[in-house]
Amino acid sequence: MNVSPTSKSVKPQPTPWDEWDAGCDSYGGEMHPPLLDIHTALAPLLKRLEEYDKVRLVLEKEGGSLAMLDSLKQLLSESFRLDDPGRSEVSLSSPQELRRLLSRISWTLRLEIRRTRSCMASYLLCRVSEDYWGEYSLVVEDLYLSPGYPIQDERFVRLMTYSGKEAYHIRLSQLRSGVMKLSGYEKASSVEVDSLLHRLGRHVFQAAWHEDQRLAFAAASHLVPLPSFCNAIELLYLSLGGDLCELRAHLGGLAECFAPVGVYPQPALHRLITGLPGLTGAELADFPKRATELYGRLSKAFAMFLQCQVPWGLCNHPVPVWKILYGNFSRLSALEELRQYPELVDAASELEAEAIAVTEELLTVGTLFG
Amino acid sequence: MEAVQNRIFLAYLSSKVYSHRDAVEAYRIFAASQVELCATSIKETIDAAVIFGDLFPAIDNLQLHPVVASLLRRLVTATGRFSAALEGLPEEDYLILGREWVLENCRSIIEVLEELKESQVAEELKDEASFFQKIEDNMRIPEGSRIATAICLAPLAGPLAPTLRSEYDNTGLYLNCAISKELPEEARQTLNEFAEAMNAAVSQKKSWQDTRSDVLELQMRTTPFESGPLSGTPIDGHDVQVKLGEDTTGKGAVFDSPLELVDDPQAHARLIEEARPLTQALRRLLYPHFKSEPYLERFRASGSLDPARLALGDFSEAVYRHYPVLEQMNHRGGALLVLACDGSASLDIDQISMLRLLTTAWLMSTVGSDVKVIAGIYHSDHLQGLYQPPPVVHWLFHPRKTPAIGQQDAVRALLSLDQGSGAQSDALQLMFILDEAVQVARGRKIYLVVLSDTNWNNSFHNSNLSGQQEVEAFFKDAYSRLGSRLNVTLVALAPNEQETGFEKKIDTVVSIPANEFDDPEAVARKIGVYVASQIRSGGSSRSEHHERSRS
Repeated sequence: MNVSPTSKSVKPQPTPWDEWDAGCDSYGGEMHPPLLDIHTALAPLLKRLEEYDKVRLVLEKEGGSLAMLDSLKQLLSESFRLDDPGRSEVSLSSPQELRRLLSRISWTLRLEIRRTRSCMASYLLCRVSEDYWGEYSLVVEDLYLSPGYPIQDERFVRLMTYSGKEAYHIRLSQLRSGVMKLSGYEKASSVEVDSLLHRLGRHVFQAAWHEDQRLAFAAASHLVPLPSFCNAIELLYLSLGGDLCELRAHLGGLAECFAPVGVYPQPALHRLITGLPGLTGAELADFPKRATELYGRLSKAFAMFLQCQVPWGLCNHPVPVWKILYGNFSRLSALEELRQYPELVDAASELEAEAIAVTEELLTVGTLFG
Repeated sequence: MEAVQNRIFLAYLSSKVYSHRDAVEAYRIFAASQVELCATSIKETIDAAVIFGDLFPAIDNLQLHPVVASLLRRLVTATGRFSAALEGLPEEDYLILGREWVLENCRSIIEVLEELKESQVAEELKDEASFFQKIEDNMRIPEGSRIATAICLAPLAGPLAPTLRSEYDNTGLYLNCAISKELPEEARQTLNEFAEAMNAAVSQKKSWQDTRSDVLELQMRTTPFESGPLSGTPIDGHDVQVKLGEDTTGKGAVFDSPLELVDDPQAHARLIEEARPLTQALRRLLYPHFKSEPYLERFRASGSLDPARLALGDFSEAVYRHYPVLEQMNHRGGALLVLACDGSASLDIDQISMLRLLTTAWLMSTVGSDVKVIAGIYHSDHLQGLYQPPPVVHWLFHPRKTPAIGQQDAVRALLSLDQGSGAQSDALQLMFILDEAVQVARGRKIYLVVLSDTNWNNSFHNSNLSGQQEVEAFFKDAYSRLGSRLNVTLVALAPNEQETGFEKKIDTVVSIPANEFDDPEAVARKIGVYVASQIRSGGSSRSEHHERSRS
């Protein structure tokens, strides 16, 4: 076989990212993404997203002209540069390239794009903290959230994972501003705030929040207000799914997060967390057993509430509440008319009373819960 | 009529066929929640009113276009009466009820039309075409109000007038904005360009990812009672065939998925540092890609006859010039390096650790070069929905199937690999990996590196061959298909015997005994010898090897 070398290929000029990529040529260099100020690096992207959403919202709410469509098209297609080491060029119409670049800036960044009802793009750019011990990963900061981005339950958001599957993530980013108002956190750094949110997520919300609760919380927020019911659900889930011994060992600073002026005011959780250190081992071990019984009771009470029949629709036929709820799950805001029905109001009162009773029974373990 | 028919059919299934289960009613309720009334067509509005009308809230609370609201109000009222009558109705009365229902709906639609247009329409309706033409006439933008020069768009999220047809394509709602046929070409172009840019920004292109939830919702919304994208077998493997002999072919199914990347920068840096001696040794390896080009060779006569005058004489072109094929290095496209790693439970911790180091080293050695890489770990794994763990290939790096943005990033997928699991089906899974490689390589040379403990497993229950014989058959089949385009290296990690049995059957065998695992320098020297042998031979697949294997 004759092998004759042909002309040498010309290598492109190296970029600042190549040194990071090459690794082998500079073994003493950093092998992980360089530490950047993410907000500075992403400022041009955030600005572009704001400009895009401004025009989009006008078109969606007030209408417009073809010139505005043209302006939107330019905002999507035109390239712009980020303030990263490579001054990389991206555009909103190449979301895959944009995600690759974000991955280089930080492995914790996630960009999700969803269609709005008008079939236009809406964006969520967030930072995620992985919790390898729990079922969900934690969204600790929303760097950008488009108005109208579809989030049905504020506690959860669906993000595409590295394995190509969409999964629910717990949205603790909504609590970020509350954490920064806590005493001692007014001048806290981003890392300290992340740390508290991670602890809250890992020790409390991983157990207290679950995607199975979405129906109950949807009913509580859109049909009739059911605050005690929601509190009872979170308390029961934490008692059943959480490791109270481990929680007891990591209580520092968590209790005040659930106080009335805290990050997430929740009296049931506040009482539980405050009283945990005083419980004996036997009382702690008794918690899940009691919670299992009380969970059955509360589920039954909720089922009775959903079976309540109300006159519905143009023909005023009696329809059970569960059918109305399931059949209109994508337009829950239109169900507020149900609050006027006395049958439903009565059923809600009974459910609330049962929830309060369940909470009291669970928290009367020991004498320290008051 | 179709809507009424479907509604009656659903009631029949609920009450008579599946009366002990609420599945049909539950699905109807779910489908009702998916209906989008703010941007819809006439047909969808009628379907929604007839099939789901009993579940909708008060029309005034829905913020609908006046035409949609008016149509819904009338149709839902009719639906309520007929749905109540449907309960407990004998089957033989379905047709009578259905006919009355359809007529009532037609009357409702005509009332709506009469609200839009002053003149009576009923006598002029002869067929469906003229019926819809009447609707379109009433939808047309009045003269002088929104004409081409100052085209205004209604609020896109607001309630829109219903269209005549359901046309959900990638542009979705934009068709609602451009119903008028009087739009000038420039306006249409603007709309099309906008739709293309928006489509590029919002649609999902990755084929290895699950369908995004909002994309799935849109698909299911338009086809509520047809088989959806989730129907059928949720887990489909890839059918693979391996020629085991003259008349025997082994068949099997292999599943694949990407391996998740680990977010641990320190562990990532540690693994790359640990593999550095091996990476340095491998970086000197060349993976040349050759291209075959015919060139013109002129016949040069020797002796006293002047060869330059031959062209003036009478000659035969077959003698005067011919076109031999020259194989030369092609710098315009790199070769494809394929790493197939045995991740089965037969590998102990030390073997897995060495496998991780070698895979890391091979990945890192190609960073910054033109060489393309695909790398995967093959074994068996539990998959949801399957009782027995099937053969699975977990991709570490694949241009179309993994999220890693480069070879260095792909090393993150190795961080969680601390032990082998499952059982491998060597021949079957190697054939699958090679088939993937052929698709990615697109004619380029393929360097297949198999990292294994050489405890070969049977892949096919119906074959009488041993695991090793099946793998031999695979290599033979691969060489016969790909010829000089394939170069195979087997890296045997602590093999049971001194010779693996493949020394004369494939291009290279590198054997790493167990006592060298703790000495990366020794392994690096061995790799260096292997590298040198590759360079001496030009990196080309030795034709004598496959000649031998063929014989």
